[in-house]
Amino acid sequence: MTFHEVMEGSLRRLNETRTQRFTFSIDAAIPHTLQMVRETTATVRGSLWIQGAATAVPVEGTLEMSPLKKRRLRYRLSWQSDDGKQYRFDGWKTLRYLRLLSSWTTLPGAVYDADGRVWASAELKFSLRRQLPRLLASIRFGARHDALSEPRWRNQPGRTEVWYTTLTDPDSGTGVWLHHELIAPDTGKPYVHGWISVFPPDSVPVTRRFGPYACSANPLQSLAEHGMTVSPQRMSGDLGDVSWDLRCAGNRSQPLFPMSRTVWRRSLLPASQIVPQPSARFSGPIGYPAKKLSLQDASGASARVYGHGNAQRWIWLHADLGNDDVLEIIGAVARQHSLRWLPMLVFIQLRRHGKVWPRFPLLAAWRFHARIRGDTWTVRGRMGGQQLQVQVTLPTTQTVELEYVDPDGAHALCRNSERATAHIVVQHARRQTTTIEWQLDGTAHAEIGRHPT
Amino acid sequence: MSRATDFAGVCAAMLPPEAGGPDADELARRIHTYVSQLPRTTRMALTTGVRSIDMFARVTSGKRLADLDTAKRVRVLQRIATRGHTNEALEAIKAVVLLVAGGERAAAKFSHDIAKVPIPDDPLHNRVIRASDWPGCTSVDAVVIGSGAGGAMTARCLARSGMSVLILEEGAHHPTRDLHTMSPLERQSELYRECGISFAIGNPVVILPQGRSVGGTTVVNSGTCFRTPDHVIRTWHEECGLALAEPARFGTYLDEVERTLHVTPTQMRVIGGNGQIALRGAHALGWSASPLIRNAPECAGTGQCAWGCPLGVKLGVHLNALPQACEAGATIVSEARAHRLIREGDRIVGVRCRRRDGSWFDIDASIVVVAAGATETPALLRRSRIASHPHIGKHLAVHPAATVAGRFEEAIATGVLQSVGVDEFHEDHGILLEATKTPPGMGASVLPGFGASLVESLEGADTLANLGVMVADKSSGRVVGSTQPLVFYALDRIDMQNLVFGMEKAAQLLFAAGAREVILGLSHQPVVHSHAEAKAVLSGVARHDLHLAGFHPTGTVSAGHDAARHPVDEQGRLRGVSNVWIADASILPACTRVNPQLSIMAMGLAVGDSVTNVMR
Ligand SMILES: Cc1cc2nc3c(=O)[nH]c(=O)nc-3n(C[C@H](O)[C@H](O)[C@H](O)COP(=O)(O)OP(=O)(O)OC[C@H]3O[C@@H](n4cnc5c(N)ncnc54)[C@H](O)[C@@H]3O)c2cc1C
Repeated sequence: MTFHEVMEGSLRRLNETRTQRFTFSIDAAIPHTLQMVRETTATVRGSLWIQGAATAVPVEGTLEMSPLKKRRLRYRLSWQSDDGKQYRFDGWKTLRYLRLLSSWTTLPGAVYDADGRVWASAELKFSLRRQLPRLLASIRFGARHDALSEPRWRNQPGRTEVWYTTLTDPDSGTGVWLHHELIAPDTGKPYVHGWISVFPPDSVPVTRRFGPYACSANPLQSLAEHGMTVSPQRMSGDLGDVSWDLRCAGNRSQPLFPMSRTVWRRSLLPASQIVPQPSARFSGPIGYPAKKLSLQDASGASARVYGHGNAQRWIWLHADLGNDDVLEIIGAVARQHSLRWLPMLVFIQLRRHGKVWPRFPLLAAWRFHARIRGDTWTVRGRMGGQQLQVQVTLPTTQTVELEYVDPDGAHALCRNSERATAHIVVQHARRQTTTIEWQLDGTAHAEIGRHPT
Repeated sequence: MSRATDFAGVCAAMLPPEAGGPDADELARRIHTYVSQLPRTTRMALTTGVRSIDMFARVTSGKRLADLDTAKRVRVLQRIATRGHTNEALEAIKAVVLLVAGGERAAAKFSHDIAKVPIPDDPLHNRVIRASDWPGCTSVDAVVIGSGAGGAMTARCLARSGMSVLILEEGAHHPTRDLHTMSPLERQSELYRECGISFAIGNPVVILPQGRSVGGTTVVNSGTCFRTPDHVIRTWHEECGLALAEPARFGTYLDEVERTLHVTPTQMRVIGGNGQIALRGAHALGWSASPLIRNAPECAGTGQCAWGCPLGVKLGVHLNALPQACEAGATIVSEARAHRLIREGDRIVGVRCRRRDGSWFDIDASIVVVAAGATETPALLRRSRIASHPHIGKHLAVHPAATVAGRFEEAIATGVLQSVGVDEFHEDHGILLEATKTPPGMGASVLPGFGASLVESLEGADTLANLGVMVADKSSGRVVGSTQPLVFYALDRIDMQNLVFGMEKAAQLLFAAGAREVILGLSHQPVVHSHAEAKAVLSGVARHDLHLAGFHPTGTVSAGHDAARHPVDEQGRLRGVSNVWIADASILPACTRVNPQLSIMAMGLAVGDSVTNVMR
């Protein structure tokens, strides 16, 4: 669940009589909504104001909720004030069930300086009249992108975990693929590595690899130690002739779970994929040999994969359909010998006007069929009175061919293009009339992959 | 509610203006101001007392006390004084009247004594934060409750080990600058719990003054510094199994405390008339006596210790250990009463505190050290519902003290308040005689009589030399109650014998030093004129005749190896919860037999080390 909260009040420096206005406005994301009742910690992010000391500075922190056990909602935020110094707010609402409203709307706390000393005493209020309607309107169910970007890997061998982002620069038509991967082999030391591929419209794609680097407990941290930032807000890295520093802004759409939420959470399939940020906007510089792009609201998506390794054969499409509508397709044939004879399972998530179709992607997977012919593949099938036809083509000159290594040491080959074309048609199943149709020329993101045997 | 007029009659009867006493209405107004700061129960008891006296006057003579003539007024009081227990109530009222009247006299004298002395800077300047300025919730590594002898030392130890430490103090912070200008009476109200007239219920009632300000009782104590006697340390270590009191280690803690407090012997220059008389008497009798060792190397001998040193030269912990703790990163929050510890399972996770305006604030902490003093600590544990151990609150020792005063021809020169110790009877009887020039009405010293004779005594208070008689006692008291602790103390029979023996010896010493008469402070025969008479009078003394004070309450949450007997384990940790330590007078497992501040501070250091060892 996510929600937006604004707390307003004042703070008073110790040993001073003057008070200063103090406000923060945060987005909180609770990983598991039901646990909120027991005990859970949400991540929060937003902005903060202190009269004369901090103007709309970014804050980050946590919201620890324990309404029954500790009867507390504890806010911990940290920020850098205008003076460049680091500060921390720590305070909690103590819930008293006889005075529920006043205890729930009052947040006392302290501001600590960088040395950990109390710097000011603060008291914030939540205005029921002004802020409650906004808070209620902001509540969204479903996990938020941040929690979803946390690593799943817990040091198990035989796992792979991927963070990838694909995007298209609306001005130049250039496509970008940024891939960060953890491999924890069945035997041997875990490592992180990855690559960036840039697909200019007028020349051949450029790919640069990085790593492998030894991986500690947290793959994202290990990447960070080598100068690579991977977070929902920012991605950056510098490989010499290729560098990037992208900020992701204004991502308001909900994550997509093409293989269903349960499969992701419980790792029910050999590997599963989710798209925490299906229609994000990226801004910032990207440099590649002799060129420099400055992206402004380039549309794209950030996704995750976690599991035992790659499929025997697979296809993938991410299509940005405009107006925050997206289509995500994953098709896969399992690698286990006993399952290889099964037809390809095709997982589809089409979001239009904020609604997702099909509702139960796992059930629908059997009802879509995929065919692969060289660099073109098609998917068709129907579900709940709607029929979908998709044809995707990877342009030969604007496709990269890369090798994946599985945790068990097997190699797989993929062909990938961020300048693919896609033709998508949605029809009324019975009447066979076209409801809507999209043609993407060079802005579809797609892949075909297989193990050689 | 009391009114100023309630007290006017009693004032006029006790110290008649006609006989040279102060203006009764004016004195009554001052008493009223003072009494209105007392806790409700005490205030009500006093008001009821004076109203009953007035009522008694009306019933017996048809007029209010104030409307009677001088002789009749005094007679009313005398009649009340002859009736057993009503006398005790009357004595209590008299103590308050004398305290206020004496305080006024002292104020004039003191301000003259200290007017030109420069005031030192406050080492806690900007380091003490009032609870009203403190945030509604904060979190730290360790909270120390109480900034007195024990708490200050533990806090310093924890802060120096790198923890973030918060010291909570119920009282206010009064820098030397304030004490310099406040009247003695104001200081008494500000620096003591219940304005200094808290007491233990029993036969007799024992006055139990306790400090309440940043620095705790060390701000108002007399500054006498005794190292814990070796045999006491051995008892704690061997009989009680208290690992903290391992003799060699405890010795190093005592050394460290002595360094911190700049402990030195009292200089003869400032010893004052009272001290000289004690030395003179002891010398004449061939008894062992010497100037006391104190934490006031630069003492100017103004004799105001008990009201907080107005010159900042008696080095209570507010002038050393607390500033040092702050230097190491600790913060002191004053005017903050710890209400209860917040429990989660077998751990304490924080402290709920109350500000003076009644509002609350919370502190999260992973370590809690309770050092609120021997009567408040058990009450706090009860409020926190972690006092299930049956011995919490029991075994209170108070080190009871009586005062014997000798009247001399000459005026006694001002000097150190507690200047000379006579230890002739310490080893065999556990008796210490200490020359202590307490002001009238303070502690156990009560002047005899009413009316003209009392006025005369008060006027002549300058010619009195006092000897405090302190007796090592059995732990025969207990503290009950949780909101406001209620103290009971039953004087043990042997302790009583020792006390009476000590009083007799004190009288002997005073006569040997040339006293004209000796005031034993007994209700039925207050004044004696020879040692033989004193001996005779004391042989028939009853408990309720005694006026006692206990300045050294200890032992209510004692520490030791035996889990069934001691609520605190041998390392200072409260049994039953995993992260609460006790570091004040309450953990001493048996009477120190000497003034205890060094022992408490050394124990504070030991507990501090024990906490940091566990945390490491
Ligand atoms: C008049 C007088 C003279 C004395 N003279 C001497 C002497 O000469 N030599 C000597 O060795 N000893 C002397 N003593 C005794 C000695 O000062 C005390 O025994 C010693 O200070 C006790 O230390 P403590 O740490 O146990 O408690 P204290 O020093 O009393 O400190 C306890 C502190 O805790 C605070 N507190 C209590 N409850 C709470 C709460 N709920 N929340 C927050 N804070 C709280 C109190 O306000 C107090 O400040 C004297 C005592 C008195 C009264």
